[in-house]
Amino acid sequence: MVSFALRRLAQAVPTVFLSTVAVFLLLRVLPGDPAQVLAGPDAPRESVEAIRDSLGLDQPLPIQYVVWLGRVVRGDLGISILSRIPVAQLIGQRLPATLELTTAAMLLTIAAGLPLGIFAALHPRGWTSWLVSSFSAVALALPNFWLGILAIILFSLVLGWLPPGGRVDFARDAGQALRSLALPSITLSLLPIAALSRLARASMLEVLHEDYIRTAQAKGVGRTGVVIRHALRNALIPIVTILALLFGRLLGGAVVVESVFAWPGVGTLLLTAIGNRDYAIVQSALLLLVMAVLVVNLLTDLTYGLLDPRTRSRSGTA
Amino acid sequence: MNAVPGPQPHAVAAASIGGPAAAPLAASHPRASRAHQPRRPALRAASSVLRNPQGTLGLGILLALVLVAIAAPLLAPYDPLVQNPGKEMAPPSGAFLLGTDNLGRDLLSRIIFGSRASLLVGVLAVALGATVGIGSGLLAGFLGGWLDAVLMRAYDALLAFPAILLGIGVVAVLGPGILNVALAIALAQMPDFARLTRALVIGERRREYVEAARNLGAGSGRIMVRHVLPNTVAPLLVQVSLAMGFAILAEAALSFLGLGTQPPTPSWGGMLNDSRQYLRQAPWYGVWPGVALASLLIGLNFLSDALRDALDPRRVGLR
Amino acid sequence: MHQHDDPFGSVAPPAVQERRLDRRSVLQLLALGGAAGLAAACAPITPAGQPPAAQQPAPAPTPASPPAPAAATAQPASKPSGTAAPAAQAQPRPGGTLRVGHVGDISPIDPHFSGPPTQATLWHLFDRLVERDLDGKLSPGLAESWETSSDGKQITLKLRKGVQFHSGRELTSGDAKWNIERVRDPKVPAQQLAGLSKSFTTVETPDAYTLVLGMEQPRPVAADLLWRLNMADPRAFESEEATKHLVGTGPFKLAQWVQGDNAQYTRNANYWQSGRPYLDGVVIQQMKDPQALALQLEAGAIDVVDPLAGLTNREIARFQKLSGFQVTLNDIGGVYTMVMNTANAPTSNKQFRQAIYFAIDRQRIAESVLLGLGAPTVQWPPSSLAFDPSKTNAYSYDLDKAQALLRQSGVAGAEIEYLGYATIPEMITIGEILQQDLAKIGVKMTIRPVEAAQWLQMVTPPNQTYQHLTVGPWTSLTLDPDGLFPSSPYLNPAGNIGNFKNARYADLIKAGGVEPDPAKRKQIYQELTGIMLDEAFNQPFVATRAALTARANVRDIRVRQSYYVDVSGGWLA
Repeated sequence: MVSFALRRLAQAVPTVFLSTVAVFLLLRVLPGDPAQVLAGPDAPRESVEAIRDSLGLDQPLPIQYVVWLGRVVRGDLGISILSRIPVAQLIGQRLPATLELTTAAMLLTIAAGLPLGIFAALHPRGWTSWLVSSFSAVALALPNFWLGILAIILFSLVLGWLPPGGRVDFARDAGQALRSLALPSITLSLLPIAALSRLARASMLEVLHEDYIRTAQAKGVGRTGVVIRHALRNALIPIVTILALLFGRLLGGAVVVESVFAWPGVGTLLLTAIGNRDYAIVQSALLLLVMAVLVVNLLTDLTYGLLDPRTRSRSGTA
Repeated sequence: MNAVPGPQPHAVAAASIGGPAAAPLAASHPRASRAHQPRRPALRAASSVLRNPQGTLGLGILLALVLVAIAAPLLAPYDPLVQNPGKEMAPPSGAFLLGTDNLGRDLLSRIIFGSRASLLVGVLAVALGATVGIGSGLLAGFLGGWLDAVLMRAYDALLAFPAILLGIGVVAVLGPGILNVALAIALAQMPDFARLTRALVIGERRREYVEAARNLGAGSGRIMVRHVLPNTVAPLLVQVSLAMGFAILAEAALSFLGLGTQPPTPSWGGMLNDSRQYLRQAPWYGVWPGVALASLLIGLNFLSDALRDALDPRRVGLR
Repeated sequence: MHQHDDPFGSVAPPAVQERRLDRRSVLQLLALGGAAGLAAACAPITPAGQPPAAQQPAPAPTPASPPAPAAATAQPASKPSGTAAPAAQAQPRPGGTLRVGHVGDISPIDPHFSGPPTQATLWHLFDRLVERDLDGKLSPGLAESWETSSDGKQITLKLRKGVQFHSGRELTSGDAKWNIERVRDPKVPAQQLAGLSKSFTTVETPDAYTLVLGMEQPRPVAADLLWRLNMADPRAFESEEATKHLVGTGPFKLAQWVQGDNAQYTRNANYWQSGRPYLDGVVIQQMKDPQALALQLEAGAIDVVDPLAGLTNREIARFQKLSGFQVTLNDIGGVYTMVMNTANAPTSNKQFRQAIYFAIDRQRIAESVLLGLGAPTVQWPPSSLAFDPSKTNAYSYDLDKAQALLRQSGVAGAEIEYLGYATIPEMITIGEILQQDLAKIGVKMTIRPVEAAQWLQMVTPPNQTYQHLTVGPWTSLTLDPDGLFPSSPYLNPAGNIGNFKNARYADLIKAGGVEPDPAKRKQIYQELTGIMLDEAFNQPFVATRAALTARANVRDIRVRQSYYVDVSGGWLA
């Protein structure tokens, strides 16, 4: 298991490298110029050039890339083109908020999506199944911003139960922190709940029809026991996969929710930076994002190994 | 200007690709399932879907939407592009059944015509994303080894890429246009399909029937297509309907980059997006495209559930 | 108002994140030409010449804020114009934190950046040598007095003694000189101010509290530098981090900066205006989305919204009617202008361009897009030196006239592209209205929406890549035209968005800057207006106003020059 994990980590190195090259090149072919953004639209050309030089953007691309990569390898994520603040500091300021929001949404997703899906699978032709299907369709048809705005209107403006936005530190006031976390995390989790419940239902149905389940039932194992001990465990591979994918998407989906609820997360930082063509922030934030996704996927594959030892040996030969 | 847009070629394309997006998968199944439950004709699956009220309803909704897209000029009460100054943001009424938008255009007509762009983008993006994603996921999961490693690491990188950057990048490199929108969305969706397929395949690989087929001398390709793929259909069908919803909403997001449908052409995603400005003053503006999109997705979900049941050889067992 | 809605993500399913790009670039463009901080608008949009004091607070503040006589509690430098809250009879109540909502990023982070985006955000940290109000009245700032020599070539300023930077250091004439000279550095994003600063060929400091600015040739607009240039502590620039440069003498000092999210300021206890500020602090909350901002305001999480980058017209119109809120409309000389690329066919044809200007339904745009918060126009605001009363009907919505001009132009079957700044949905809506009208006269127009940074790159001279036409926001048209013509990207004779080049036009601009006789200057600028209208490369077609929207308990904050929201006298009831 350990050697599998190590091999996987080694494989991740070229991925990270290639994705940094891709990000770097993509940013450079985008229309828009950070020096122009900094100088303002009325700046004369020599002013824009002077700013570009001072940012090191006049250097050939390979040199810019190597300079950036060299710094990153030494643990220096660079400084924001716009503010000259170290990128590590900017991301550090925002990371706790994003982790808090995505973790809460993930927990809600698992807590609601899994039981819904299992329940629907146990009653595949009943009304719950219809309900899960319809709920998932409706949840999918409601864009995040819409949900967020409706949630604020209902719970903050009309009912006055929850704050409309902003983040409160858990260390300062846990109760208030939970209250301010409620709307954004529920908004963010609705779509993943829909997706997870649908997929969990499908996977469970597959497994429930397997011979060994029927054997277990025939041997008199109780229905709950069958579901939990046998069926769920075997349906977990696709479920864990979808959870990993959803986590990656949550990180991205958080951007909209962050902006509706004035939540100071990494998503909005990245968006703003893309808009400003603040290369340093975008490159480094993306690098971290790629690594986060890699780690989550590594954990997913390790989970496959735990769930089914045979996968381990197969993938391990890679 | 283009007063009443005639039936557009792409709407027809949407219709033909659009049927149940899962058609190819469904078709491939019966042969494959012969491995463990022979002599199960495709017709029986189809009739099973139709006997299932959920399946009938789902199919009915989808067919109706496709018909709406094709017959839009006949169904729409007004030209969806004609503005009526002085009648902006009108609530639903006898003259405008669903109300009007910020330029006084009839919302019902815009929803009807919007089905064309939305279905087209949804179907194209999902078809492309699913084909490439499922194909590579199958290979990776079944063959494993270096191919698995390379493909999955590439998808990891793609998955981490913010879709916005992908979108801007695609426009920068390929230019705007509806095909490129579908391409950008498909790129964003490939990793999901690939990872899911791979996980399902890994689950299937250990099954007795695979071993049995192998022992009987079947080649990898044959096992994959005939045996493994059909048994992964259910969750993939679900993923297809999820992806369709994402794609249609994504189209609107991308239109800000000059991708997507360009004004004044209506699309559901675009209308949903515009409606955000008017949520407080004219809630109905956003309700209708939301209802349209939700009914498409409900249709897809019902149909995919019914298909899953129909295709499951062991279905009769549990209940 | 240039509030923009935010395109943002809109939809943004997890798969495709819409980025709402920062709108800063447009904000910068707003400032365009020198327009930066200026504003000055004595004239309300519609009835010319109405005194500024008549800009009423929006109807219907809550009963709790009684309509007050203008200037009731006015402090020395206070003028009622543009006051957010009617000055109540009550004494200012000290304490509390004012939460300012702002859509987009606060940037560039430079004390001297010369565009409006920073005015509602960074300016609270600084003072200027002189302060200017919307009505053009000047009052003492860091300079207690100033005097212009009879030949107009020299300005002598006496600085206030004992004013401390937030660092504790006392401000001297040497610091002022350093600030004036810094903006000349091409690397500093203050090129509009650079043009003004360079007019002063000598900057002398005979003693620590005297500053003497000398010009070789009198240039009336040069003195604008005094009220547009923030005074920052030169020592702060030893650090590389931009936020460390934000050390001024202003009523508030920087406490915390969370890039892209918020900025927190605390009360400057040593502020030179005794008793001020009344507030304990100010928080600038950056939002990505105007709808979300509107909800935060409505739910009480925000107190006041930046008039430049805040609410959409539709939301402002809604808050005007909502109890518990107040809206004031300030004339700062803002417009939306339509620019055509004279380098590409068919917009290279003058009559074709004129035909398009006759196809703009200005009235409908003012009513259904700006919802009555704007007004149709064809040229400068009446208070501008360049305003020509004989030209107010140069263009109108007249499709027959447009058709006739089109025929004369000889352009047939024209297909043109409208570059839409998608970050402001109003710009797309305006395009859709024009699109339908042009179709009636046989011109096929397509709309190409693009995101902020791309739009900026596509329209910026000298390498414009947009095809035919675009619409942009523009502010401070009430400013001295010499602050606009030579430097605004819309007008600059050396390179403008419209690619318009003309020797007479360039000569007149040069002459207007140095002409001492006001009557002759007016003549020069009116001729320039004539050229603008006839050549049809840039046409302000609808006038906009800056709306300050706040909760009813916010008192005595006001819009001063351009979008500068002065909160030094503000308090919370």
